[in-house]
Amino acid sequence: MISAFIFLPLAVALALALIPAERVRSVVAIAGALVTLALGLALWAGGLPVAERTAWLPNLGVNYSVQLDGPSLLLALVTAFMTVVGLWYAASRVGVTRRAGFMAMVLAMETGLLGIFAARDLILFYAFFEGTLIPSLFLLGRYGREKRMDAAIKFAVYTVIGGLIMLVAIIGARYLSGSPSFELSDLLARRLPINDQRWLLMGFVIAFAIKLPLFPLHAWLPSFHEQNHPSGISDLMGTLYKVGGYGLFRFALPLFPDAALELRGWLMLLAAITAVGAAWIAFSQSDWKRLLAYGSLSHMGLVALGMFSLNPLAMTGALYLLAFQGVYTGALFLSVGMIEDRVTRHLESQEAAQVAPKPVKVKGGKAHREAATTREERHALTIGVVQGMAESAPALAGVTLILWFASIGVPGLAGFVGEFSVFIGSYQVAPWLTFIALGATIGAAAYGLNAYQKAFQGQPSGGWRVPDVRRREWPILAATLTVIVLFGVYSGPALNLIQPAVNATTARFNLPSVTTVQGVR
Amino acid sequence: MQLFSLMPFLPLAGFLILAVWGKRMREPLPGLIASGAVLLAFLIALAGFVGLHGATGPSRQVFWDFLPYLGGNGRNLPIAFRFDQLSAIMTLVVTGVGFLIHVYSIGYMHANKGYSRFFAYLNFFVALMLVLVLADSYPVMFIGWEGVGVASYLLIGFEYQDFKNTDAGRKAFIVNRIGDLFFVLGMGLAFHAFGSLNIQDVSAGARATAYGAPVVELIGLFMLLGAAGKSAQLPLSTWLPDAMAGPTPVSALIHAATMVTAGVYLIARSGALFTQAPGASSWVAWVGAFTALYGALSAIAQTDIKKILAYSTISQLGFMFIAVGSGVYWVGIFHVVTHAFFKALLFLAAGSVIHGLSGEQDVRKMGGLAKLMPTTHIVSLVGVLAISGIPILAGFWSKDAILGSAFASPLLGASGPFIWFIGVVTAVLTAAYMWRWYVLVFQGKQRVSRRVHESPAVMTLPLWVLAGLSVVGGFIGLPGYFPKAWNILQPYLERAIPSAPGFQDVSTLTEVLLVLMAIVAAVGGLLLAAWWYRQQGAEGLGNVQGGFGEASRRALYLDDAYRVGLNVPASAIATGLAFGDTNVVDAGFNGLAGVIDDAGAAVRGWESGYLRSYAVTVLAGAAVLIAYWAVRSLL
Repeated sequence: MISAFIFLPLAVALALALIPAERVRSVVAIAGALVTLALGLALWAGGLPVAERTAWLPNLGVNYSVQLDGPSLLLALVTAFMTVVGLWYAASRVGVTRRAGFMAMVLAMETGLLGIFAARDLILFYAFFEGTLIPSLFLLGRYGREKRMDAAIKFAVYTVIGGLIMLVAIIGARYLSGSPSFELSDLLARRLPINDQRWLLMGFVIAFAIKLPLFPLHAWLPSFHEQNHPSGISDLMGTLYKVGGYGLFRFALPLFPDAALELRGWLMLLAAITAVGAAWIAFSQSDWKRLLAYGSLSHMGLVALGMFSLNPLAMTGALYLLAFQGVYTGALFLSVGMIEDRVTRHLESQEAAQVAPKPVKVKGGKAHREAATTREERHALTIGVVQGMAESAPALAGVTLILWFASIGVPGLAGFVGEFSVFIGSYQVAPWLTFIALGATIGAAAYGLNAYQKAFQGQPSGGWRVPDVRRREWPILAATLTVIVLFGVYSGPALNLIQPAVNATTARFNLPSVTTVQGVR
Repeated sequence: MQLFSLMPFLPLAGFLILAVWGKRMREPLPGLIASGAVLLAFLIALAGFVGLHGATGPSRQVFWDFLPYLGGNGRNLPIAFRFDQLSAIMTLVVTGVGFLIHVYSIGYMHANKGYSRFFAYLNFFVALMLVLVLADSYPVMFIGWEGVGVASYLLIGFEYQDFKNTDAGRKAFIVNRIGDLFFVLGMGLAFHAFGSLNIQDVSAGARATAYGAPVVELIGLFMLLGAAGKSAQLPLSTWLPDAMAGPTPVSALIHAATMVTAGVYLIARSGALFTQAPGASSWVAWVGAFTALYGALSAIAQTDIKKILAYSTISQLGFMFIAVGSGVYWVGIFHVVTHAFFKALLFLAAGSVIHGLSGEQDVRKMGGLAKLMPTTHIVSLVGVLAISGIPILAGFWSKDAILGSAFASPLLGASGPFIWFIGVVTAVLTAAYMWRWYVLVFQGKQRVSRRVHESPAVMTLPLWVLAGLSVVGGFIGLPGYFPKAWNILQPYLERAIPSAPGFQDVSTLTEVLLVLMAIVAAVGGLLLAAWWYRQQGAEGLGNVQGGFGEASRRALYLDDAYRVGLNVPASAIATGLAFGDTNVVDAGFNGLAGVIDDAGAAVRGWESGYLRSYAVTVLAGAAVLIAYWAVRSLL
């Protein structure tokens, strides 16, 4: 059942190649993603944890071992949900000739991510970890913007290096501990001496800090988002933030608990710098996608802050943030895609209006237009190139504003539960670093509302009526909004998934229990 | 589900209905729905208020789990409401004054394009404000706290076509966030100290902590900074005057009567903690005293009819901070109540003037409106006298109670009389700037050229009600020289928020002298302004001359200081960091790769694609690093 859940999207992706009719392909892709989501929900309903295990490379001690416990399932469900959302948008947004390939890559990506969350064998985890690189590179390299190859190379180099370093650390961990296999439970059962833990932890942390990412290993991120497909779907699926945060929680910290405790302060410092620095940089960005990239970076700094604090409250918050940040930031990427769609058409029609009176130019028109489109495309993602959109597109404005508020961490929306828990939890460990990191919440309000103001408020540009949310776009926004509000208020179900695993993990750090009251009496 | 916990859901339902279907409704309907929702909530609050008079204790309604581990003993913290005497008074103010302002808005917002959107936001605000005052724990209070901030942002920038308005909304939100940062830190420390963020648990923990222990002092200071953001106290006061960009009913409801008092509520609600923290309490009182003075000084030379009232609000909030800093939490809430009456009245009257003059807001261009707008004139006069502290009107009783408590507070000790003195000076200034406001708007020669009309009944009716409350509202908290039984408010509220113990008993003579001083201050201020008007006329009153006039108009240069000291460097740093990120961090890595790449090429004479050599050589560098760690660990 787990394996079906993991590999169904890949199977659907392959099946897409066999289907001739374009319309059917979209339907099949979306249906496949929906069935995957349903399978995930069925697994949840059936009770946790569920596991499967068979030998894969017995000589090397590698097993195909998968298990879905609370955090894994939560992240997998969110991934499955966002895949449905992304594919739905792709069906009307990506050019018809390139659509099937795009959808196939998104589905392949989903299998990779689900595999990452389920893997309980470190080599299997590594395989999925590297495997996801392929579809995300294709999404960027085939469907990206003008300078996509530069961005792809940078992304690939960073990720591959991180992965290889992690592989060395994985092998090192088994070798040094004398574990019979690469199975996570086997490795957890043998606690290494602190000297070994230190460099192994660093190997894992470097790999995950590239994915998450953390300062100063984030340099691939802004161009990655900037150059991806303007619809925002690739940004939704292609990044592996979740993998970085999840990997820290699942592997790096519990495997090397003593080193994690020893280096806690330094790692938290790095996380706090990332959170505040990225928020500050985001404020001066003029491209929507770079803005969202730095915004995500800032949020991931908070995730790392919570993880590295080793405090159960903060770790729960970090996992919560990790799960739902993907939903509202993903939806923001899509709303930016919708803005870009409208603005591009508007700018094109303006251009056409200018060109139209001169029929002479029509001959060479195609090449001319092609060049213009790439130029305008960059233009269309500039924040505020068109102003006052709230006037004629109030629904799009309203939804975007709610998404921004979620991203700012306003309570009642899903971002708050995670952020607040991270802050309160990490305060118990490092008050000053928490104080610094809290600067990110002010920064978020500044860059978020600033960007919103530039695009949606003010006098409408040139009397242009922006089309409001279209019928096909509504389900995307409605579904994500529902999740954001529901889990912003009714957080119990998600907490129930996260907390048992957090309690088990933090038990390894030999810290005083969270219930201890340290009041001054 | 208990009846009281329905309160926030009624306006919330109104909000949802208006958000979805509001656009299709004809004009009065959205206003009626919104007002009806708030009226129902008011009736529930009234029933709850009466219910708490008897022997029944507070009631609690638990919904479901919200935040992990924060509920005490490692339990999860639920979303829960608690209805006690303090909540009862606050819900009455929020829904009562809120209802009147809703009704008024039906007339004020007539023919506005965003009619239904306005009422949707207004209902959203009331819902979240009720969450704030009903919360059983600090995080749930924080839901309301931030929620009203969002509502405030939306309503200040209501006319979003003009960047001036949206700038003001954004500023309000961001400045509030600075305060919120400290509120979160306060919660972090409270959890550290007491293992729970439930308000009852924190209060119990604080009571068990030593008097003046550093931990409670620090929590108190954090909460003070949080409260200063929401209640526009120094140094986070600059957003409130800008917030006047919102429609006038919004200024009345959010930026005068309810939301801005949330900081006072927070401190009163945490009274058990502040009672143990004399240092933090003194800070609260001093911040309040300086803000009261600052607001009054800034109000004197303002020329916008609403900005005068805005600075006045800042000043009056300062008075409330003096009260809660003195440890008499019920007095702080008493002034919240009376201030809600007369300041809502003044704002709505100002709105009526603006409405009548079709948008004019400059007091120098008004004058002589007493005859043209008789109703607005009378109620404004009541409001002016009430805020000035003229005896038997509402403001007199609450302000007198504040000054008296500051004088004798055990938490303030020797600094009490100084704070009392600042309060008296501020009281003089208050009467003076309010009389200037009144004279410039209603007296003298008419300086408007357009046609003036009195507002419709739907607007004047709430004005009459508020005027009535501004006259009699103070009788709920009559001072000690009357029979004890006449003071209804104090015993009622002290069941929920007991005052700090150990107030000195001042002699009757001192008490009489204090009251006389307060009366002299109020009357003196009025006479001062009257004399000023006599000397210089409307022209001199409108354009205050000299260095002081300039300083007052610019609110003592606080905004300018922020612009130069904070905004400009912050943007510059942002640009600098962004530049550094692309040109140093990123380029640095690229450059490093390049160097290694060159070295590799030199040594082995590689002839390969850029990508591969780039990747492999950087990897080599990283592998060396890891190998170094590995070797070190094995040795």
